[in-house]
Amino acid sequence: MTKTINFKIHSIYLILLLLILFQNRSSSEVLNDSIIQEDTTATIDLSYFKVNGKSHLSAELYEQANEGNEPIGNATLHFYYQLGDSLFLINTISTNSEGMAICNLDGLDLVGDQEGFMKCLCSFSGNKQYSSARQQLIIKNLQISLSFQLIDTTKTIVIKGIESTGRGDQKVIDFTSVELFTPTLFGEMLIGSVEFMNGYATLDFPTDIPGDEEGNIEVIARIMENGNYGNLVLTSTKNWGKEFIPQMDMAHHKLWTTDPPVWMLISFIVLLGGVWSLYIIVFFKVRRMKKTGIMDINY
Amino acid sequence: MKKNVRDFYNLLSFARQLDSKGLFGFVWMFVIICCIIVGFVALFSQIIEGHAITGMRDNVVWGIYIVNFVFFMGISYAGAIFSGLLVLLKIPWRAPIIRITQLVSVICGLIGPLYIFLCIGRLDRVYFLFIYGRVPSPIIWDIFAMITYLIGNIAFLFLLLVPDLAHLRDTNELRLAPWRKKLYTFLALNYKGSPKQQKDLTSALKILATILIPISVLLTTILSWIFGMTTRPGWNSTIFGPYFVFAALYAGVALVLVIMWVFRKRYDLQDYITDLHFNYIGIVMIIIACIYAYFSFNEYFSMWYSFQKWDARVMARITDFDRYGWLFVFTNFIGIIVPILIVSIKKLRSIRNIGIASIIIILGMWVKRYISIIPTLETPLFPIQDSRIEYVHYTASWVEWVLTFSGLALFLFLITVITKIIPIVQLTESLLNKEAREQKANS
Repeated sequence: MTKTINFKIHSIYLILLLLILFQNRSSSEVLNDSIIQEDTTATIDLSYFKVNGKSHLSAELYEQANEGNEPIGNATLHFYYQLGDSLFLINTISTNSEGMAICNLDGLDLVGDQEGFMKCLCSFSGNKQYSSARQQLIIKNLQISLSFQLIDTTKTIVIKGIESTGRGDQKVIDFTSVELFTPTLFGEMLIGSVEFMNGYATLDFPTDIPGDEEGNIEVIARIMENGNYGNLVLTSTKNWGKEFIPQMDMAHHKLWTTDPPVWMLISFIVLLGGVWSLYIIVFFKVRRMKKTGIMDINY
Repeated sequence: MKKNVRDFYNLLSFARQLDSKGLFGFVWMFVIICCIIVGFVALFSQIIEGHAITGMRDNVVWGIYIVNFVFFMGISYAGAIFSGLLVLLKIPWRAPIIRITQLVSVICGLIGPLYIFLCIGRLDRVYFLFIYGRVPSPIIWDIFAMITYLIGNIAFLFLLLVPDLAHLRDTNELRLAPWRKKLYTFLALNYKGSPKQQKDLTSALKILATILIPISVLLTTILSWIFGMTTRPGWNSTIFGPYFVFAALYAGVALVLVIMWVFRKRYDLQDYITDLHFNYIGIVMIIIACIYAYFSFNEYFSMWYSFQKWDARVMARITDFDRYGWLFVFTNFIGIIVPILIVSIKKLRSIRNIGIASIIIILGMWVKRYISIIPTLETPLFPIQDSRIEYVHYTASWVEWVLTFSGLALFLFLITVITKIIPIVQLTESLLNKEAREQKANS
């Protein structure tokens, strides 16, 4: 009887031990699962760019870490255009190693709402490592143009800014800053910063900026990180710079020219003249030697 | 003049050279003259039929005529440089050599320009060079400088001869024909060896020697500019000037050694042209060979390493064993390394071997000019409209070969004739070594 009881007790211990062992194993598995399930939050930064009339959306996918943002590469991003409650997929693009994905909007007739706002959306579905993320962007379609005008003999840059609305009409803009730059060897130089008034921004063009050999100078107009319009860049070239004339005086000699350079003529004449002068001296020495021979009767 | 008799070498030693009329001499002259006559036939054919009879065409407009021109002129300039240095530096062992170097210089200087005339399609328009010549052109520099050089070079040879001519005029040791005596009397310019005459003559020689060295260097450089100032691959090189100078010196010193060897053996002049002379000039030859090799390596290595399109094509052509590869090996390896080994290794350094090495150098330097000029011309920068094989590749015709060998025959003819009139060795030690002896006596 006692043996039976002992056997039961041992059996219970054994079962408990096995249960504990299984329990520990399951705990570690659960722990691992919880690490996987406790995925990292992914974030999307979505920007709108319009460079020389060509629009694109730029999305940056990253995770926020203590050391800074860590880009998430090779992740699939979906770009959408939202009209009312409907979503239209524009494109699906994978991020590069820097977590960037560029969605080209050229050729797409994106219409804004009645106030001209367009809604774009970028989403990341998430994966085992990162959580899903999405970002919406609401922008207006602004068109700017650059022109160079002589206003009362003053060279003036005129920037025109018009926004388009969903109704199809156009509206001039006000109080929006635009900055003008010109490229330099290692970057860009700020020419000036002006604001739009009644759809126009004007700036007196500086007269002391050097251009190329023909005075051409490139002007870049930038509206950056504007809450309504995103980022707009427009470049144009005008020959209003100071003509850059190389200081190096190139000798334009050719083998077939009829007139030699003066230095060459002088060198040639001096060298030949010098040699022939010495020949003449030799001639006179030999003549004197010959005459001396006639007189030297002792020899 | 009698006071200075002790200053002369023994004239009787040169009797064989000046007066020999053996069968060999007649046969030698007969062969040479035949070669020259055949050359005239070829020249006549070329004048009648034009350059179509040669291998020169639209692309390869310069053939072996220009090769011969560069070769002969290079030797001429080298001879003048050696003569000038021997006089100015008062080298004690110069007397037996200076006549040979100067003679080689003058003869090659006279033959070389003939090949330029052969390159000209319309010989009747040669005078246009003087009428319509333009100073900016290196060819015009070459013409004026070359005329100036030739006059100075001939004058230098002549002035070096004057004391010997006077001695030959006055001597009774040899039975000379009356016409010879008259000739020596005319050419000796009343030279009697008085201190005043020696002073004038020495002064004139020093002036000419001083002029001839820079002129020769300059002319060799101008010669290189005719090629180097074009943009053609293989020619447009900044080191062509000094490269040509050392190439000329290399060939020049080899030719002098060959002539020394031949005359020493033929006329038993061992007492005058000694082993020491061969050793000394052999050492000079090694130094020049090393410098020349250094320039060659620089030239080819930079061409090969940069691998520019056209340079690469020329290099490929030069090193192609179906085209010029063997010539490249001969001129750049055998033509440089073998002579250096022969002269450097004491066991090999016999006079015969030095003579053979010199012949290898001469052949190698001719080939060098050939592979410097022809492959470049076969690599035109402009597309070829008519690509017939004879337009692309150059092969010298029989006319060109005959005229080349005629030039060689003319060289041999002139040196044979001139050495029948004057000794191959400078007899007058008094003039050349007077100052050295006076210093020795004073000490």
